[in-house]
Amino acid sequence: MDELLLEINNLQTEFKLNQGTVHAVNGVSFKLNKGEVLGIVGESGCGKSVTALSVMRLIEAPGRIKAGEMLFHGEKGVTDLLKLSPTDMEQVRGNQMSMIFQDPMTSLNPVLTIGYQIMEPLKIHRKMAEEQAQATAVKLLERVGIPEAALRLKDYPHQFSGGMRQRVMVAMAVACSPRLLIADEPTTALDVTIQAQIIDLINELKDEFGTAVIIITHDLGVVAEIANQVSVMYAGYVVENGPVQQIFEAPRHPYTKALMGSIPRLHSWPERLTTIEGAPPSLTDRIVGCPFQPRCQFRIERCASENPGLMPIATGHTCACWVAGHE
Amino acid sequence: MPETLLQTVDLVKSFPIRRGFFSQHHFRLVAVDRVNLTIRQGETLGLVGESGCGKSTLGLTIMQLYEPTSGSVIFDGQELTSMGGGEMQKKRRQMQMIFQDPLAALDPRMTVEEILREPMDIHRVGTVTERGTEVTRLLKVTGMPSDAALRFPTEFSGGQQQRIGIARALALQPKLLICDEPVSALDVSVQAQILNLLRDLQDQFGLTYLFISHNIAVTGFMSQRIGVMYLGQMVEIGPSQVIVRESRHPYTNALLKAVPEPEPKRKRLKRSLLGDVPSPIDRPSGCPFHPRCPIAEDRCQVEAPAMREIGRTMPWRVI
Repeated sequence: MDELLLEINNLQTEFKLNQGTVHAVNGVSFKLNKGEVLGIVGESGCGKSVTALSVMRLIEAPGRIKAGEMLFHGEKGVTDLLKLSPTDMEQVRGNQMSMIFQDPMTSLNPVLTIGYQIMEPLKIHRKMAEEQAQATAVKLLERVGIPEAALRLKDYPHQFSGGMRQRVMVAMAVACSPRLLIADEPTTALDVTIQAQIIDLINELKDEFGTAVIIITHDLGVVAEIANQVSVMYAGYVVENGPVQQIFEAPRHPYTKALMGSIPRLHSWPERLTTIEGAPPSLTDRIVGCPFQPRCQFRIERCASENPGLMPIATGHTCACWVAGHE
Repeated sequence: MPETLLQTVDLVKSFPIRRGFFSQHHFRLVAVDRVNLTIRQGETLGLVGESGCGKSTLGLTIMQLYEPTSGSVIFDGQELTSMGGGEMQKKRRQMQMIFQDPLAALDPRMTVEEILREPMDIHRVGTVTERGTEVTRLLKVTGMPSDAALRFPTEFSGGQQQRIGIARALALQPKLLICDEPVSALDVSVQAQILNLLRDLQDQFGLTYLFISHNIAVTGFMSQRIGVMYLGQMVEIGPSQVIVRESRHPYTNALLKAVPEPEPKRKRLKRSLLGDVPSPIDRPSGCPFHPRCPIAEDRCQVEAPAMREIGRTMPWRVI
């Protein structure tokens, strides 16, 4: 039986800047079951990273989470993460949910040893003593494939290669066996052979610890590889949501379709790639109607005035489109 | 068969490295190691490999922006390595480059018109009015709005900035365009626009491309032939179809297997390649790929395999 882990309802995040308010996330909703992998895809500026940071409650001024509900099924029952005090949230973050970032060099502290950084969450959340934490850290490093782990505890981040640093990040993230792991572009800065190693690692750990994963990436290939569920984002909205097979093989939203047609594939080379005319809307403007409508070749009159919102089109498959939704 | 436009023979580029301030030992980082390639008129040769494999250095060495350590570059029947500065400058009109980060490659204080005019001013092409007309034409062929001329590069999106970079490269009507990761910084939908544009321009002007990218799927879409580089050496080169479907070098195989495909049914085989790319300063003995190679034998550690031809057109460097 699928057991619900995280339920996001109508999440809205905005940034108040001098130039105006940036509406980065405009009512995102999704559900994630235990042990499942959700891929959030979209192009730069579509709000996928802000969604992740919102779930971790890591949005800082001038940004703020304006509305929404984030129900997390944790150790102590269901909690709305948005209602937790900052201190309570610290008990959850790094413990029951943790995050991996794109650039391991900037997210590891350059003046602290790797060992210190891996042991930190263990000491704080698991109340481990120095020796026990050290033993666990060695085990973790071995698990993520760092050779001579015991010796490398005393090394600093710059003494590791890019792929190794990302492994260290993964080790830190899974240190407390979190229920939820959020990976924001975990492989974007890496070469393909190293990327493959990190994807394999995340996949293995997910099975081992029963961790649910949210993976955020612009690389549709990575999502196809690792995710069960996919949410496609555009201009701060989720435009299509469904099982990975359906999203890739029978996408319904015009944006998803165009996105799929625009990637060169290894085994089929078309004469031309699909392109999308125009540019995404400015996020400082209030969007009326469907956000994709100005660039959409299937638009009808209704699209300009009314935002369709996600509507079910098949089991577990929703799509925010007046045209595709009513085929 | 169309004639050869560019050929490199045993091209080497190495950089001296000093480890430690007082060190007496001088190391050499061999970034490009005896590379032989030919590109025919109107063809696209793709160059793939992971970071640090020397593909960008190869592009810059071909352009003579790096002085080759040894070997030769023959462009349009002429040897470039022995050319003097003035002669080379004239030759460079016919070979231009597009870079990965368009904003870094465009002067932020110049208007788009000034950027596109500059190469023509330097090479004294046409009259002043003719240059003005040419700017308008360049904007048109690269799909830029005509009012772009008086604006600055920062006012444009990444995709449009790359179009400006392409327009500038075309200003002198070159024969060869070296594209160094031209779409790596772009979103996929914009990437598709630029790739389509590059193909259209090739048809329209009969351009020849050396297309450098770490993305083998993009390279396959763009190129008739693909060369695969590892630690400065060309390990396999051949027609794109052959490289992608029936590559023979274990590194090419591993690279292909590592590419995540946007098809959930076609899952990757697990664990294709272990370890990291070795440092080019501590290059492994024998075949540079042997420490990571799944089929390495004892011989690979001592003897560097030579490139040899297999099948019809594919030279192959392996035991």
